[in-house]
Amino acid sequence: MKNILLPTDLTLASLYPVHEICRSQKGEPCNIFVVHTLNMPTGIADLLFIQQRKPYNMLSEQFSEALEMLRRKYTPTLQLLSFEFLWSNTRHYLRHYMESRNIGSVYLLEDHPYRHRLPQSTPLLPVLQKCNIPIINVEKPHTPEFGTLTTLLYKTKMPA
Amino acid sequence: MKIQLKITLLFTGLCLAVIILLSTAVWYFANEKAFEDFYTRLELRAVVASRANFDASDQNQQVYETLRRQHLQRLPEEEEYIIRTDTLDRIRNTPLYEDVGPRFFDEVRQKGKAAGRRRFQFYAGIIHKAPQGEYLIIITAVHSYAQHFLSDLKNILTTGGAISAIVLLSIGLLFSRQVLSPIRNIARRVNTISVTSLHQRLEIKGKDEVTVLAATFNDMLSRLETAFETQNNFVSNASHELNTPLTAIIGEADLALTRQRSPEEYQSALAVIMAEAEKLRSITRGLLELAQSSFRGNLVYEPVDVDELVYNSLGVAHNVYPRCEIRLDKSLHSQHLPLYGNSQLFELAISNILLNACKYSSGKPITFAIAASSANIIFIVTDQGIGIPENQIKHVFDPFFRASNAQKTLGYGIGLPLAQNIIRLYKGSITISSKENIGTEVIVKLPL
Repeated sequence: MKNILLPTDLTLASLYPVHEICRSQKGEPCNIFVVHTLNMPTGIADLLFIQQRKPYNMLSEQFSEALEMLRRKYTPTLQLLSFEFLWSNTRHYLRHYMESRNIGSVYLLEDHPYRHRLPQSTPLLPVLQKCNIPIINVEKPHTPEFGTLTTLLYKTKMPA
Repeated sequence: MKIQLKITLLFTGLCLAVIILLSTAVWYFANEKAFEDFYTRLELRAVVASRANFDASDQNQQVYETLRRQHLQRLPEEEEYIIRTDTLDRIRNTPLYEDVGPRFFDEVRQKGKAAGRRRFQFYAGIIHKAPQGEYLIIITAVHSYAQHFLSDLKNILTTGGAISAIVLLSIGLLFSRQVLSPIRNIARRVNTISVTSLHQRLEIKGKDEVTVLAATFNDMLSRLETAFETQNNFVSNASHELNTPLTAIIGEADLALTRQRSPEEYQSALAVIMAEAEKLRSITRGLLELAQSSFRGNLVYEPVDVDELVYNSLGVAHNVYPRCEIRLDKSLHSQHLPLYGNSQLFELAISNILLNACKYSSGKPITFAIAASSANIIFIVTDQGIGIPENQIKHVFDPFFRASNAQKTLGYGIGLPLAQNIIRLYKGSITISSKENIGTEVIVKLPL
């Protein structure tokens, strides 16, 4: 069973590689860990009153629904499609995280900007590149400017 | 009764109840417990009396008598009774017996001493065993200090209570007025908003409950304003849509009737009239469907085959626009889903959305996708057509509304409102995102 890490910037487009991952598995089961990294608070007050659940409430309904759609679509190939916030972006933390979950590869969407959607979001890609883990880039379908769920449809070509 | 008065009365009532309870407790404990020392004084006098009367030595008796006279202050109405215990039965009908009561005599016989009171008349008695027999010595006196103290206390508590009631009532009035003033302000401001000034909003400051109320009013005003606007748009758009074919019919008939014409000319005029009448009929049919879709009577909930719904809707779109290329996307579609509702109405809604997409896609292909989450089945229709100007998206569900860039295409503005009515009837949702000249995405969610 393959365990795959899929970084997200909480947009539907960043979930697109799930299609490619599941299709490349050819029926073999896999687990996908969708993660978004947040800065660890540095102040003592912030650390004392850190609310682990708070960022989860800021997730858009559309994002959660999209995860669920993909889960339904690729069952039973997709054994697990979990989403979690990682409260750090240091190389050591990330390596520990990947080792504990036995992550074999990381999938990224090619040329995707991976923007900071939440105030405490922090970039993950520069640290990932130092982690000695195979990174597979998935070609990005053209995303229509107006669309939401359309961005998640597999190989839907929309001209600019 | 006004809420202000209710709050005042409730506040005053509660505070007064507490004050009365406290005053009663103070008076009760003062009355019951504060004069215990007086019994001790009476008892001491009874002991001295017994010594003065029954001590074995005459000299001692004189000493006690002197002590009593010189050092023990005489109490108000102090009296001393010395009764042989074997003659107690003889005093049964005397005023002393009736005042003191039989329980006092029983207690004094059993315990050797007893004390009691009748209002402010206090009694203390002891049994003295003398060689010539057993004697009961009773000392009684009026406790005038207690009488005055309790009477003063009663006056203070009653007057204090009455003054507190007046003060509480005044404070309660001020307090309730203060509490309700933001609500009165809201009411005053809402009163100034009329049909012609629906754009006005209430001022919102802070985060308290009254602010929430004001925000709710503002939301309601926004909905009302939209509803009024929709109604106005509906009337003007409907009259315009109905008027256009009618004008054409009247114009054509008028022109044909101005002079004698050839049969071909009459035929051509009638053909125009016929075409315009057809338009009128399709508008009225659309209106009828729209009215029927708003009906909220008995909703049919029967199993709907999603695949059949998709293919039937596609069939309708193909029949009307045979050259329109619709790509069915099942990349998010999972297994068979149990959707319940009215398949014909769903078909009407989905096919109307597809027809719109075909109509405005300018010959470019459109995508029709199906997806499912745990709560909804989702239909996504995406076209690459003329799009909708951003400021007009909020009006696309108004009956007869036509976007400014859609005027060249034939249409009546009934399809989307009809689809929305049906979807809302089954507690679903429809959302549109669009960019002018790039395309439009319509997402329909129907609850599973």
